[in-house]
Amino acid sequence: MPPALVAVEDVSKTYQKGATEIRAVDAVSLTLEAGESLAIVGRSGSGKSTLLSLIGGIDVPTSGRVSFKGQPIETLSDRERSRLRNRSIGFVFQSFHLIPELTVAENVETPLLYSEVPEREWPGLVARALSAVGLSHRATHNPSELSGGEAQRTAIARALVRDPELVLADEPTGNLDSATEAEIADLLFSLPRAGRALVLVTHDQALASRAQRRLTMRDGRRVEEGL
Amino acid sequence: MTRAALRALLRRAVASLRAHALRSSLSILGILFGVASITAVSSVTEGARIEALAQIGDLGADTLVARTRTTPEEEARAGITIDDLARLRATLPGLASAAPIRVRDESIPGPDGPVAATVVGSSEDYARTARSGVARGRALAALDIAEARRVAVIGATLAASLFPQGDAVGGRVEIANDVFDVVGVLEARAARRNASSGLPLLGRDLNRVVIVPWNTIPSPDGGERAIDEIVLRVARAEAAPALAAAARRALEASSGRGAIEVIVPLEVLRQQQRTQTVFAVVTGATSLICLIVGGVGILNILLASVSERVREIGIRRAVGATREDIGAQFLAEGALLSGFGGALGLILGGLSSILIQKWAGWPIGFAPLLVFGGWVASVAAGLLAGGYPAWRAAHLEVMDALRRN
Repeated sequence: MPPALVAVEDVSKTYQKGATEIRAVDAVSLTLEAGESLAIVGRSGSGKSTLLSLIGGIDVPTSGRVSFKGQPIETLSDRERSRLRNRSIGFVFQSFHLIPELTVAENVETPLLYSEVPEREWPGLVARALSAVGLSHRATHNPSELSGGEAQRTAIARALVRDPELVLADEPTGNLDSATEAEIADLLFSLPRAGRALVLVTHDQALASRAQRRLTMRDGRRVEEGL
Repeated sequence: MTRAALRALLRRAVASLRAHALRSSLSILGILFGVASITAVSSVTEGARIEALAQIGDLGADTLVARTRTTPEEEARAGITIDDLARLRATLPGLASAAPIRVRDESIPGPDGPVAATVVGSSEDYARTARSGVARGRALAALDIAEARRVAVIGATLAASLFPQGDAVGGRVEIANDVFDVVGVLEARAARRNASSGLPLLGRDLNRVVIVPWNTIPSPDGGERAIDEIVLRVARAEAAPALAAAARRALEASSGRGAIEVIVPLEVLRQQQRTQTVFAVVTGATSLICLIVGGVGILNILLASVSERVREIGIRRAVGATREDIGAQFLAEGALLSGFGGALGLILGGLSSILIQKWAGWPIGFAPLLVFGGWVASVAAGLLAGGYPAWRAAHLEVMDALRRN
């Protein structure tokens, strides 16, 4: 039996703040398969975003193990983790995190700069990603010229340009109005249908309810998982 | 990092620097002036070096110049005479040739007004001793001196100025109300040697001289037989210092102790090179300080840039950039800033050199290794200055960077 796409085993993450130790994630375990969607819900400070960063390999656990396709992430070097993020994981953030000096196309192109994909293929990949989110006509615009929905769609295009197996979205609709929120949610929930796994962190119960699985966190601990 | 990523990195570095054009411009001033001063100084010292070598080439390492030493308090002391020349010829073994020199600065009437010239009174031995070949006509002959004929051999530039319409040979020039027949024109020095400006030792431009029999021009204060200098050529260059000492002793016997100086061109060149070395070291130290100041300027701007772009760094790391990629980004910006500043410095230094040549009349030369070295030093200063900001940027924690506003 092949290993799970993501396996989180008894993972904890603690931070030192002065003399105080803050346990942001406390003994959480979960697995995720390709084509699955998982919503992580909970109050602010419950450890949702920290868990997401541990799954995405942009942080390493203090104890426990996070594996991607059977490979423990904490055993990888910084360079190997960067390569894993580049090749297999796409990130979508609440405040879009676009680089303001770059155009929409250049923002989408950013992951390709750090990849082994030949440069001649870049324009086609960028065009395909922009087309997938319906932003082909905005390729040469700057982020400051975009609406919130368009900015988030640009961020989704950037997350998809390397065709990752896993997409992690941290409050992806948090800065959007309700109409745009639905549009972005449709876009995100189309990903599992294409075989990608989706993990999203949200406060929004309606958004969370669209995920196949839901995991609730409180004070860093997993308190509930439901369908 | 792939080549495409490198190109993108440079594009990004240029865009980032352009976004803060004023700040970037100010930060490169130190580098700019450092490289400009290196370039200007190197071109002047190189010019002086080429000049000195040309002078040695003109006179030859086997040539000596003996002349009366004048001091501010004692300008009219008894000097060398034509009899000393005969004495040297008789007593110095290994002397190939010797010529007397009387020298005056004169203004010669020409078709377009007076032309400044150096009148050199000498003998038939001058051509051989001072290696001044004749392009047209003839050199001075023994009979010219014996009969004190009013004949002149003139420099190429002077010939062109005084006789723009035709050949100077056969023409006449007026020197201090005396008329001389032009019997020859010297070879153009620059044409004979590309690098030389035609200036022989002691600052005489052979393109602008008039060579006449020594006894046809007014005598210096020392009397009818007094001359200003004796130019000596020895058979073997390595014997020049010993012969110089012997010539000094022989001349001091007649003129008095300390009255004569004998110049050995090779020693003059060495002295000149020592002076230049001191000059180059002092200027090099100043340029180094400029480069350090420039480096600190670049360090500052890059640190500010890292602080402003923390979130961007986080984004790039999240999408797959390694620490090395991020570090390279800031190193590239440092290298671009300093490389650009250095290139501008080269241009400014080059222009300064041209202005120095034009206004001060100093010769300049191009020392490619020094100029390239100056530019490389500027890029190295930028890379060094970029090192710490690059390290800081590369070691930001991704999560912290993404959360930072």
